[in-house]
Amino acid sequence: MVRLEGIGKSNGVGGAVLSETSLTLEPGDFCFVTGASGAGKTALLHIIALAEEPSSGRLTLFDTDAAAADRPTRAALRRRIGIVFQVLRLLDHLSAADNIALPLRVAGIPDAEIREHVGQVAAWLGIETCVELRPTALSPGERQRVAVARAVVSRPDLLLADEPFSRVDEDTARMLMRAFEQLNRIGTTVLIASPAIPLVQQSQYPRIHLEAGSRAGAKNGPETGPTS
Amino acid sequence: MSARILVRTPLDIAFARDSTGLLLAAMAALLAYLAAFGGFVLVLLGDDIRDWNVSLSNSLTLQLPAETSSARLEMTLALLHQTPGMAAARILEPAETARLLEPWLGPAAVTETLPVPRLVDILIEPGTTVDIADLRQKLASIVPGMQLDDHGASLGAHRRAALGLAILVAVGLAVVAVLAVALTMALTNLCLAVHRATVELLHLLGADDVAIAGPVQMTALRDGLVGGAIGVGAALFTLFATARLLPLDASPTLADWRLWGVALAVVAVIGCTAMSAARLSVLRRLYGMP
Repeated sequence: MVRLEGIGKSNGVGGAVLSETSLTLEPGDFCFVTGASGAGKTALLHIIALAEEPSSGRLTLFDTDAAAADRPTRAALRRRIGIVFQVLRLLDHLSAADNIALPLRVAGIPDAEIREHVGQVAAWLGIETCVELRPTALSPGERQRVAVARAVVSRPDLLLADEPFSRVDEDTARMLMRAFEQLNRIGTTVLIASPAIPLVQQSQYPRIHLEAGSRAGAKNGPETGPTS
Repeated sequence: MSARILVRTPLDIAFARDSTGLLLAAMAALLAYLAAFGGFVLVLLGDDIRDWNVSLSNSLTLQLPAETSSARLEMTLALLHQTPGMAAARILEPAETARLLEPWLGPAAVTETLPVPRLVDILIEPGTTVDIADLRQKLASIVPGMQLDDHGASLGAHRRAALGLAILVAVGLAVVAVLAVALTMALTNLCLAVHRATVELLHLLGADDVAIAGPVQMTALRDGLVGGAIGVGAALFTLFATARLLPLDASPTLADWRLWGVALAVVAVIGCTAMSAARLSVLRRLYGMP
């Protein structure tokens, strides 16, 4: 589903954010990317989400060579990916429901279906009472759940979450973790970037650890992924 | 159908209303005002030029020496009436000639004491061509010293003046068009800067470039059309309010379909320019993203 081969990313001033990073995710995988701030977790997710171009290496998404894909194909690939941004990127002039509905509007889903899907995912994440509010009126935990709801509302094949537990309390973090696991059980591949917090360390899922500018190789496995 | 419904796109909800729309509409109104007023003046100026052409190209003035005898006058008139294409030929009375000379010689001009030439006003049938050189030769054989004026010089001067004015207005319209494109691009870039986060988000959510450009270009079209309509309305009002002050013979009327044509064309061009410039700006920005 996702294959990174020797991916490198420079920081624009001669340094390397990522170097020779390789990673393979198969359908149904659940994996963490850990590392300190600046280790390249966000860059890695952005490259997979086609938000940034790698400086070197090859990215294959859903059996498509990303570098060779034309713009419409890349847009279609993005629509198969749900992403929870580190900075959330919620639009403050829209209600939470309209924020959640954006991927469905992008996909051209009719309004009636959009309302139904948004209602379902909001109830699933426990934010059904606040979907008519704007993001500025929500608590940090609610905003985080709205961002997650937006990422999953279109039932993506691949879910990328950039530090989804960093702005929420422990209970909300556990609730989000359970939600990611449920999604994974129904077939969504999940890749979560996070510092090595207890919630991540205690989980049984494989972890890929990144050091700043380091080479990272990863494979699917039950233990912490190596850096090499 | 309201403009809002007309220009609605699936992603327009993502773009918040901001003051750049108001700026674009105001700019469109100003440019439409200038363009429409220039267009109206061009239409009326065209009427004037046509009228001058018709009135001057269909007439000749024959000037005979003051001492021309009655017999030669009669022979001259007979020749003119026999010449194919002549509609009428009439000798001006001394009083009429005096009135014509009054601006130069004053009210005290006395035609009896001055050797004032006799003038013959000749009308040519519209659509016919008279061999002026041949006529001039024949008239000279009857009245040596006569002068036949086909108004070529004054017609040329009028045409040159009118053409100059028309070129001036046309250049003004071209400047307005260039300004419209440049200002729309600048305002759209400003609008894009305001909506940068939204554009990036929609891009990352997998929206096609054209789908992202849709709401921006449709908003620009709506603002351009509304502003253009306001500007054209103001130009029409100004035209009718100041018609008497304009140095034109032709008077504007609401029944003149050409004025409405200019008005509609200006609104359409302003709207389409705003839309195209917006689309170009958004796509250019999007092509800078992966």
